[in-house]
Amino acid sequence: MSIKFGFKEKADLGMELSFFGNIKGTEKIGQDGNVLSFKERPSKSFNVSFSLVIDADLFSDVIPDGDIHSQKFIDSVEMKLFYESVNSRQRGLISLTKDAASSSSKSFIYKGDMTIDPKYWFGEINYKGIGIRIKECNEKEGFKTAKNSILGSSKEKRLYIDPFKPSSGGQLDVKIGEIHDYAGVLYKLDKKNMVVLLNNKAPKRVQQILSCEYQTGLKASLRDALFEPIVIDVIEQLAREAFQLMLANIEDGHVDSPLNLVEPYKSVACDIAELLFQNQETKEEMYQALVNDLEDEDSRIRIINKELPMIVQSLSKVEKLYNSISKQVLES
Amino acid sequence: MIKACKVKNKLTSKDLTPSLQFEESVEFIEYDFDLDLSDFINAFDAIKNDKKLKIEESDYKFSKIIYDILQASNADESVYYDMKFWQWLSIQHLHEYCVLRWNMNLNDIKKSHYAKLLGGGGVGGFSLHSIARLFVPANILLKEKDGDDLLNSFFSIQQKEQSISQSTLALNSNLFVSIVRATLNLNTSQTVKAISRLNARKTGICLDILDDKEIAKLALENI
Repeated sequence: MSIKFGFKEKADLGMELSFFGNIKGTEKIGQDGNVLSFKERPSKSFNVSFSLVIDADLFSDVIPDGDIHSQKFIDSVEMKLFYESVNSRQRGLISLTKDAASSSSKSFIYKGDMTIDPKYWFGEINYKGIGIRIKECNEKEGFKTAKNSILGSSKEKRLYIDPFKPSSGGQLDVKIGEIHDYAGVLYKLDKKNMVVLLNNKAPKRVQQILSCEYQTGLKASLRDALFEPIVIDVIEQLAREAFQLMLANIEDGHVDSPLNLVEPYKSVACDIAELLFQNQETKEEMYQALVNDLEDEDSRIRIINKELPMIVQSLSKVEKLYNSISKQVLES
Repeated sequence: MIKACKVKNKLTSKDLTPSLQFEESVEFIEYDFDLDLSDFINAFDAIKNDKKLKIEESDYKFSKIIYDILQASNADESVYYDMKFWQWLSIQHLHEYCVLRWNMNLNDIKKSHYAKLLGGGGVGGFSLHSIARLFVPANILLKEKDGDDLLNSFFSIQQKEQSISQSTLALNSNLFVSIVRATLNLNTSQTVKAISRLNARKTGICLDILDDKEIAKLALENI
């Protein structure tokens, strides 16, 4: 049997899973409607309904069974709702049934429900609609003919049972203060209080420029330009710490996802993953790619020693800020 | 007998003192059931007092003990997967066990030690927690006829425990049982290969609907 993945990709494009009907007490997170979150953790059982709309044409492309409206086809394929909740340690499948009244020759509509008792669920639940071959058919090159093959899957939907908490972002305060432990240093990242300390023993004019509050003009541009390499260095320090936190349990074979870190490490590690693994399709895949690369010693060393110094520079505005100050100085 | 509790909010490392005890600000919520931890504590005392016994080789034993304690307690199953309960239990009552099990030096706490008392994030979250990692497999496997053998096998090789617990496939209890059963008599490298093989197939084949034999066939091909 051979598997031509292009067909699966085509099938994936033709399957659309939706939350069907209102789930009381929830709100949409983000623009695309793929994520819902309860505003407060629910206390009573509730029902979630789903509809899966499938473009009928794609079945013709992914299934060599002949007439897609025939009983033979109907008997050989099942649509399921796949759910997974890591924090609840639950994963499984729910059968979806064809809504004959709503389906047409161009699109098939499947529906299903899931009753959730919040006592047994924590964090979030991820959902996907998937098409599964339940009977094998004659092998045909380029088609998934084996029993239990996944013929296609929808984009993921997510429901937060514990209210979604948006990332607090990554802004660190800068303060002038005393740096005891090293002589002759200009700044220090104070990880305990999450603040960047500017050494109060640094020359007064340096302190004056770095702490000035001008919005525009030469001094503001000079401040921003001088400060950006500090930003780059601080982000690199945070990234190294974030990687250490992700690798805290590597001896147990466990590398944590950047999503499980606290701020500001979470934002820094996620930003790095998104820039480093742009070839991945989804953010989840980018974060997983970072986990995988940190798990392997060779790729970990490559990331930390080779990629990281460049990535943090890419994340910064150093070129733009240097260009701005250079222009102002040269033209004045 | 002690009154069972959970911490009010899921704890992070910031909620613990340098010696991994609760900070004063941590709040608790009482459950409506009691726990009798005497079997666990007696078994632990026996290990502490007999240098021939090795705590790291006693996971199977402690797994059964903590399972029996929870079964006898009338705790609702919703407690089993609430990390706030496990955090309370490990820090409040089984702290010494956790410290000895992972050979922690409380004067030199490593980043990895926090997860032993607080659990971790992601799929491996429960398997990193010192007590939850004992209970969860027992709660799934001991419902099976051959559950005792499966549980013993699960804890016989540390790599097996880690590989299975940290696969998203194991979130499905039926799959968890099938994978442990499929890897029953395998050595470490065979086990790792078998689980890697399943992980690699999960995007093309719906493993969640396969039975024991089908899982074993997929996992053990050419091993």
